[in-house]
Amino acid sequence: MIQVRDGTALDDSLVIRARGLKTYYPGPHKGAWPWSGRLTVKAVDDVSLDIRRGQTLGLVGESGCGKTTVGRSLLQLVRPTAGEVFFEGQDLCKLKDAELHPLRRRMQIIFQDPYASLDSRCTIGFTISEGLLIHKLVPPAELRDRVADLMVTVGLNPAFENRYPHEFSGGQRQRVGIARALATSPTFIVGDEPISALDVSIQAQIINLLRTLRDKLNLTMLFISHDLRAVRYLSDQVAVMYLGKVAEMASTDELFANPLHPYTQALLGSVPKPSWSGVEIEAPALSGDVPSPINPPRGCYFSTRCPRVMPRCGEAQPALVEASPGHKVACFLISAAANPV
Amino acid sequence: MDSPSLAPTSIIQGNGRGGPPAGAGVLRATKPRSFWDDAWYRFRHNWAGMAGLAIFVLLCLVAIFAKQIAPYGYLDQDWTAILKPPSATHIMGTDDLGRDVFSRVLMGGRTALMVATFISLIGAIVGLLVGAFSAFAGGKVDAVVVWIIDGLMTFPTIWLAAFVSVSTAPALKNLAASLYSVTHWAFLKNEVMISYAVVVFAIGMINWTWPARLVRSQVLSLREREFIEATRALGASVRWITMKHLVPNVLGSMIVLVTLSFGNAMLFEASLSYLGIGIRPPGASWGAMIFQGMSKVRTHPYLVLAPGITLAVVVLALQFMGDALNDALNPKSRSK
Repeated sequence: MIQVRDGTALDDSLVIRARGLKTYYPGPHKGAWPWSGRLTVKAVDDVSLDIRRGQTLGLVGESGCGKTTVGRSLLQLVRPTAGEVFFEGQDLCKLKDAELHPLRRRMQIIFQDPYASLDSRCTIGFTISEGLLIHKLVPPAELRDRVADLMVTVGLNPAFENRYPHEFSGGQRQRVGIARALATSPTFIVGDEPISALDVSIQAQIINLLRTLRDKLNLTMLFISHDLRAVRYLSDQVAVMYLGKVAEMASTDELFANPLHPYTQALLGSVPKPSWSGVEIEAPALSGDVPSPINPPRGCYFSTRCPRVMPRCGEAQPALVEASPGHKVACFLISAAANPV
Repeated sequence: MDSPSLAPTSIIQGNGRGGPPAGAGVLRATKPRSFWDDAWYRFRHNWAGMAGLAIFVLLCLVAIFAKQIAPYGYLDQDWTAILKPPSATHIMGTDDLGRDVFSRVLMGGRTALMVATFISLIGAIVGLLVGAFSAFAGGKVDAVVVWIIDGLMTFPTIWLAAFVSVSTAPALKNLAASLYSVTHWAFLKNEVMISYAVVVFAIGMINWTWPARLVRSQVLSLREREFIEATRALGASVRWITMKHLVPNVLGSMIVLVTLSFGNAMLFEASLSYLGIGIRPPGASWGAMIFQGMSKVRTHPYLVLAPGITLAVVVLALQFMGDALNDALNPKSRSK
């Protein structure tokens, strides 16, 4: 057990524990002049989550809801505005860049775009070995063997180590990205929509690869995606985000069997299902767009699009409360008792 | 803390999905090829680029050994051989003062090369510093730098260079004179030397805008790219990112730009000298030679053709070389 500052004991099996995570970006200028003040974009607004060792948390939501920023903030690639992120017993948000450096090898990220995430000037062999070089993990003589092992692990031919990224297909490049992330033997990996830029047939390969590697290496993952089927296949827990906040969080089976938040219900209903009479979509698709995080609606952020909106939804924000053990929802429909008027 | 199952060697056991087993013999057959090895391979197979390089190397050799190669002194006047057409004794003829045109073309090459080298160096260094500084500073500093660059670029370069050249010449002369009174170095009194400095200064003042813009935009866009973020996630220092990713990514385009601007600088020097505000008369400059020959172009065309064709060939060679470098340093254009 590791004792945390606030007195609560931090379970050893918790790899990532985020509390009250907030990441705000400077938004557009308020006025027409370059010197007029700026609005704030609340990309991530008070998100708390736990991920246990060897487990995968799926993070779903529409584009622009802050999923990616959560991943970046956990890894401190974007410094959060407020909140705590505990990783291996240390609050990353309080660490200086130099103190963070040794921890970087224990947490890695796989990017969405396999074209933008590889340096076209570097051979893939160098790209994969970069983490090993930076942290001096492997003696130079063993470097090439280690890179070859990694390439085999992700299903690449080691003979290609001197090739450049443009010589590979999207799926192969994504394998390079995975090998780079695995090189330093991390415990925690953020998969930032690692399949959404790939062809459907390749998506299955990469998903299977991620699952195999996760199980073999006992990786802890945050799997960010808007593909609900992929999330269901890969995740133990799922968190649904809307406009920078967590709307609902539960175990995968529970969430898909018993979605409580109207937004989750709409999301699940929007997945086309094959049926005898053709493709069916259960619930009507949500109308309208996600409101701007610069100027979110008053009260519940989802109230502007919610099919079951009530008067009080426009006045106060529902808190994220436990509807049943392990199933948290932020909605007045469910949590009337826990959200007194 | 390291748990044993996550020690660096743990991954080795995995033979993920297909591919030969770890440590397959095929691996050792290939030697790691760096980006520059590859670029040189591509450059070598571009005949226009190689021809350009050959001409450029020839120009450099000729410029360095001009005095040894030249059959006559470039200032020597032969009153018995005035305005003689090309012959065995004077292969490019002689001018109206009886000077050997071939010898003067060689010395003009030295002038052009020297001036262009300094201009390109100044441009590259100032451009790199200003561009990188502007990109990293961001905000208002960046905005002001961009205004200045854009402002300078709205003027026709030759007009601006002429303006700077004419307006700074007296000041530079005074500076050289006052420096001479302290140091007594002879070259500070040399009018030709001062005209070199004026030309370099005038064109250098304007030429840095291109590399500055290039470096600024490259650094700005590279900084936001995912592969830089991936390197940051690996724990790389700013130094590592700069040396391994920013510099290699910017350097290719810098080399191309400097090569192309090298030819441009030669053209500008020739233009200024043609207009009479560049290299002073006793000094040899292709531009000045063309100007002096223009009055006799109908009767003695070789006076214009000799420096003119040389200038055209050299500038074209640099253009070819720049294009070939562009292809070589951009792996995306690698032949399929």
